[in-house]
Amino acid sequence: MKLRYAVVAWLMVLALGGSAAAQEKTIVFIPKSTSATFYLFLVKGAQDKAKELGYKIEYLGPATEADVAAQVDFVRTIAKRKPAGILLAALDSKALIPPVEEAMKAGVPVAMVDSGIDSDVPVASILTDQVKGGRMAGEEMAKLLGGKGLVADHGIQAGSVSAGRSKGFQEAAKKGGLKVLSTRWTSCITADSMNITSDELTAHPDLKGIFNACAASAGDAEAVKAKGKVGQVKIVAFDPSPEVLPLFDDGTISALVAQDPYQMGYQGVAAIDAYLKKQPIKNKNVLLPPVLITPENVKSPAVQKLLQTPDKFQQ
Amino acid sequence: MTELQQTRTGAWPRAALELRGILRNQAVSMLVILALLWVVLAFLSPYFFTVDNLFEITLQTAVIAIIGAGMTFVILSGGIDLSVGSVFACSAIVGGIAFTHSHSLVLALLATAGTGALFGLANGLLITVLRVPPFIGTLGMMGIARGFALIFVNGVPIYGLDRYRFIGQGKLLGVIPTPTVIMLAVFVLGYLVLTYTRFGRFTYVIGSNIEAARLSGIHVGSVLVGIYMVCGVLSGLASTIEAGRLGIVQPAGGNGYELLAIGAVIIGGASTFGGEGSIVATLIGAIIVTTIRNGLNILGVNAFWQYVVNGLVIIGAVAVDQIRRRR
Repeated sequence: MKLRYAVVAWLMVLALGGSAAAQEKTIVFIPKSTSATFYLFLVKGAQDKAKELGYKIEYLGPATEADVAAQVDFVRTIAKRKPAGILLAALDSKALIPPVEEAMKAGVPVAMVDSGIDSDVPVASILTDQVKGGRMAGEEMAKLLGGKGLVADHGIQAGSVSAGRSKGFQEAAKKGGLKVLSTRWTSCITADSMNITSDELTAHPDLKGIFNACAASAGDAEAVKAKGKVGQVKIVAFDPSPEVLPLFDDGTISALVAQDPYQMGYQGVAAIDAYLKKQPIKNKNVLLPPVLITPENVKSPAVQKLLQTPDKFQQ
Repeated sequence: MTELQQTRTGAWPRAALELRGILRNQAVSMLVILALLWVVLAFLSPYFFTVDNLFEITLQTAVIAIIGAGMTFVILSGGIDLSVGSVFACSAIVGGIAFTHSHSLVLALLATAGTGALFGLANGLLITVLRVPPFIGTLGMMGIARGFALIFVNGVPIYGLDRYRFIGQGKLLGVIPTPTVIMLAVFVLGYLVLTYTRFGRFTYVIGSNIEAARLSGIHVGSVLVGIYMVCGVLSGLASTIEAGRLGIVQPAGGNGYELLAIGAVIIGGASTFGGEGSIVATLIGAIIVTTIRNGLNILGVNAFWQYVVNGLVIIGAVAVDQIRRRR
């Protein structure tokens, strides 16, 4: 019996010791959910910078955007492993404060990417202005519909950081003269988003537009197609992800709001490295401006760089 | 007591008695509830009772109903399968991987069905050979299948499944959605198997009294393994339909579908102790659940209330069933 305990203890020490050296050079990126292809481009940006500086990127996170508790646990568990640093896209701006503070206290620097927390503790925050992105979508929708008509709003998760997208959309759409149905939350599950869209199209034959705050817009677009309402119902959505791009190309989706995940990853790793080397971090809080992609500007090089085509996430 | 019953029976006219007899048939009484729901919703919204929307309801029901058909076999046998939502995701992912590598739809379908069957086999062996209770065995499998779904693709959805599309979005004769047709075929087949085959009758017998089934010489182990494999394969089939509707598969998909499928079976009046229930009632149960969601969506009821209503319907259906049985 004693021997068995000894062997187990020895193995554990070996496992911890063996990985300790590797941990010093590993930066872990925890996304909101691994289901979003969006984060693969953030990983790519992080990897490119990490290669320059001699780190390794590890990608781990909850499976759906509904699972705030799981993300809190992820941060706490990974901080205990003492990696070089953590990049985090927060699911909730309040719930993630304690685990981030604990990690920082334990000497593991955390940089926020994509979605931040209401705290100054992180070494840096490289984010998208969510409300502004939503507003751009709302303004474009108002323009597409000539300032009148009924539109739907499909948000990600009530009370989450990304709910700001729906807030911005509602504000701008109403200001632009549109009537907006109350927000429906999809947790970014494509199948749910599709069913919601089908039912809304049935209930409101006069529906003219749909905003989706994430790449679950693929479901909205399929529903609009299935009902034969392409063109009559305009879709404006966040994130030019690979599953969404074909639907933008064929005109089912009229416009996309793009963020710059590559820069988030790239600058996030740079900030962690600077912190570890005790160098000053020039700009702690970066708000990357979202870009509206329309059929008119999609060919421009600046926009092409933001399109999240699969060739950009080969490692 | 006997006297009282006799006088009460005597007071009922013959025709009313017959009506009561028909209403005692689970499937028929479910159908009445469904019809009532449709009438109420038709009065509340002009957009509800249209051919288009009724087919939309059957289309949206297909995925849960097909999983529910497999779940009916499991629950009739006195078991439960909590792994169906995860098996749904994992078999779709394996099929999607097979498709992206081979571009063969047939191969993708075989891979999907095969994965479902394999998880069913594993569930069945856990329960019969290792004697793990179904609730626990399939709870474990729920985690394992979800894990593999995420591992196989590193958490990333598979897209570009355009050739799946006719399965999810095609229409027979231009009106009946393909998923509706597949769903009906599954239920007709399921009904025939449960009513006219030995496998079906053994399923009921095992659920009513597993010891009696053993003593009467039924090879309980292989029947149970078969039942869980049916459930696994049908979860795979359902996942193919969803993939066809969306053109993508998500490893996080199917989350919570096990509860929706179990709900459909329970609303259909099957006994959770096994041995009692009807697969036709499961279909109607699933349509009732979708009708409520579709109806509340059309009426513009806050989505958060839909959870409450769904919960009330499950409890209500079972409570009504209990009262009916006591009479």
